[in-house]
Amino acid sequence: MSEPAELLARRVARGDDAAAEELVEAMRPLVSSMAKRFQGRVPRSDLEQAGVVGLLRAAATFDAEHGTPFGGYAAPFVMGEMLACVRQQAAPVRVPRSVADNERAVVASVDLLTSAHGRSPTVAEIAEQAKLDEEAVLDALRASMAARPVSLDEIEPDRFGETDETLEAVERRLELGTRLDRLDRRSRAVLVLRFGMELSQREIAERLGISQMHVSRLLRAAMAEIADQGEDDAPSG
Amino acid sequence: MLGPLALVMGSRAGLSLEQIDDLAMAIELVVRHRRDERGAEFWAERGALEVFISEVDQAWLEQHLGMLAVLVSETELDAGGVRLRVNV
Repeated sequence: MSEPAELLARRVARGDDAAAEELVEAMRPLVSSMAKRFQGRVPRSDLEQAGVVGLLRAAATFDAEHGTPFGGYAAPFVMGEMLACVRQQAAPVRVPRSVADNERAVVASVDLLTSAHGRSPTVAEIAEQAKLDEEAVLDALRASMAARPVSLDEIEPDRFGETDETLEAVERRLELGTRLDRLDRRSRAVLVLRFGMELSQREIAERLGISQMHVSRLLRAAMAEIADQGEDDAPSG
Repeated sequence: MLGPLALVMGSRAGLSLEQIDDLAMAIELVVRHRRDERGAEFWAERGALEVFISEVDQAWLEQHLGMLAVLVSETELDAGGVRLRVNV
């Protein structure tokens, strides 16, 4: 019988290459199932490779004493690497590799800290968790803010759960007239959750099963779309 | 440009990432409304960050106060502009 992932991760953290191979093999089902979410947008092999990078990053900082199963601890790291892989391949401008690496570490740290403390972390806390200085964290966050959002296609539609009443409430609150109608259903839903139901980004992230930084990018894109529509609608002259 | 500035100033003020991000979105909303030149001033203190954006259409602002109120702790129309404040 193979060794538990928690023990393998501990050996990986000590630099045991054989344990790293065993861990990757043991966690292959998790990586494969997460890669399926992005199927068709990036070659499967690239996604799985990104997932393995995430696994090994997770192993480097895993502490079995906390009692968290390794799979649960590693999942945000794996997802972060896969999202970064999708985004980097889709991005019109590629950020330097060092910034992209830091961005992945920052995304994983934000997810971990948010889940551990039940609140959004400060930049200083992220820097400590990611073992980066604050300047590097700020660079990574700037890159993340500028990135295009990953599509919401991988989120199950019934997680949005918007109703006509909340949609109307948001339209009233935002003075949007009928502009929400022109957004796709999922962009509308993110706006409804934030401005209609007044959920925080963290709460929306929990509800949709995505990261807080992903929610931020989706909100930003939806708001920009609405603002641009407003400009188009404004009387000229 | 103002988003990255909010990031740096928010970090100095000790705001959470989500608070900084919401403030950056509020700023983007205001400045995106009309793309003319306008001024912005930041004040950071431990536990709070304030930004004043000048020359904002007051009728537009009044219509969008509800949305801004979701994003920041305090919103105040002031001298032809808007003052946005986030408290930790």
